[in-house]
Amino acid sequence: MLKNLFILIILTIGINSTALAAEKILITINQFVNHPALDAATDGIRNALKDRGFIPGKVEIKFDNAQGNMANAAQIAKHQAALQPAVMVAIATPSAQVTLKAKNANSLLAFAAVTDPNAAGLAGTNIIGVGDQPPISDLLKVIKQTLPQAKTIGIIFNPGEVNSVKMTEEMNKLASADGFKIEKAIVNSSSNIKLAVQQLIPNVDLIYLPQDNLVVSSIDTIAKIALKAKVPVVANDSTLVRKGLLFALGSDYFQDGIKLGNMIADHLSGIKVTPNIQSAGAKTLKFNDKIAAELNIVIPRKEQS
Amino acid sequence: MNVLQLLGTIEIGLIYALVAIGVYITFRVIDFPDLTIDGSFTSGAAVATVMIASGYNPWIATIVAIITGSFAGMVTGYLNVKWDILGLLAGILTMTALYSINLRIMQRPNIAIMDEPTIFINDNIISLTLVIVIITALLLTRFFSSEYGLAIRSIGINPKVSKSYGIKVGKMKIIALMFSNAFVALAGALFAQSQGFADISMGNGTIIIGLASVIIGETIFLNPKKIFLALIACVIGSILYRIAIAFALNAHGIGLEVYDLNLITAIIVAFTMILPKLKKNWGAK
Repeated sequence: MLKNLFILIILTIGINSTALAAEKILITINQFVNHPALDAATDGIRNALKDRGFIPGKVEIKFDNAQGNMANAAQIAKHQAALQPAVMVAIATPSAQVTLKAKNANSLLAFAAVTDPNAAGLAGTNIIGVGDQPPISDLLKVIKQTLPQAKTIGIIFNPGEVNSVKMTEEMNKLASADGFKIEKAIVNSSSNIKLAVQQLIPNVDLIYLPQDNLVVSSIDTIAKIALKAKVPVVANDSTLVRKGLLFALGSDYFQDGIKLGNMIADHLSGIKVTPNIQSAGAKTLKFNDKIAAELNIVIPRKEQS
Repeated sequence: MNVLQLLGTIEIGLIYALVAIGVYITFRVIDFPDLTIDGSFTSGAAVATVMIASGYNPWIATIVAIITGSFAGMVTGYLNVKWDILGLLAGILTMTALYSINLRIMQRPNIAIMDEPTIFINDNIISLTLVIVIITALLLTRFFSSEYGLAIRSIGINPKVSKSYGIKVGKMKIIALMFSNAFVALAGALFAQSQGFADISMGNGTIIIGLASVIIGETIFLNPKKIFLALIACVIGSILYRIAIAFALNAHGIGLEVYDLNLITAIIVAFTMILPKLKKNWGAK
């Protein structure tokens, strides 16, 4: 029995110790979970790196996905750090945190899809990242122009998701200062989303969806119920517009990924990245004409960019 | 896999060994399918992190985390023993309630303690965790050999006979659940401190990891009857489970996809468990 164990451990050390010997720049990616937005961020990074000439052959990219499990994420971070990569990319808050703990002093941590890097403790030397502070105040301006009679904003969010809570707080603060009333509906499982929407609808003039993994994955249900009751739905993620939102204003995660990819490329080319935490900046406002027609809402044309 | 990767694997394996020990106490010793631990793992992480972030001594924070975990176990036990709620359901109820309670404790879903002092100093995570695990195993062995501990073990084997010998079955069940969840919360507190943060979803899937570790350990050690060996089996099982994942992480080269991680892990775990039986069959021929 102990002999088997011993053999197993020896085997473990032996296997793959020969791999990765080539003189390529090693970049690791630790993505927390599969999700359209996070996948888009990863794609953006890969595209930007390729455009800047960091092609396979020159760089080697090792990609791992924790499949939503925190212990896996931590193990992946350690596993990747042990390969002494030049750059360790982390997608989503928990992945960025475990990577920061695991990385060697001379590896660069590059993160994306983190809404509040400060609160997540992502500070120190050799860290770059793209924060995705969504343009909530700009979204409020569009709400006021497009829906001038709106008084109450409903928000559906999962209190267990850090990005979502942050956006909900921000929306609550800014909208209240603008004279809106806020109604919140809390969901913690996809099974009670329908109930939450139905509970909100009679009391609100529109529904705002934060960047919440749980809520976004149920976007079809939400949009359908809200449309039936003629309540517009808005968000900060423009990729969701075709799913039945009235409009969305924000940077998409693909653009965040492109931004981070370019920052990594700068770093690898010896250009100093300042400031070390940036935001994607590019904002797009997208309307859904079909939904607008069904709700009898006139789109202010000049706003569309 | 290189040596550094193996060390990282062992580090996480040792922390989750405490989860395996907790699961062993409920599933094996008292034969109670306790699902509370998905919640109490996070509770341990949450309490320790919040207290450390507020400036408390990390050791005190860890001890309070352990006590919090034992309370969670007590609630599950109380629901089951006093009100006859099915054990499985009692655990689910407590786990569900703990989600909200953990959010209350943390005030937000993710708290970072990247720079605060923790019980781990200068990369001593493996050595300190190993010491904690060994002390835990020794204390538990001692406890389960005492009159009290033997009483607890008897209710898992035959509750009716235990009762006729004057053992308070309900009380013993609650105590075992408290022990189990205390160790799981300790694991949560250690994990949060080693990673520098607590997250509300930290405990998701803990029960699966714990159960797999217990069963792998038992299979490799051929169902040990001695309690100390059984606890060591939990520790080895937990580390082997992590090694299985490490293998899966290294399997990209041979045509497997990143997304196959869970599948590969499951296959390796299943294979580990089948192997001793295969050997026995071959031996018989």
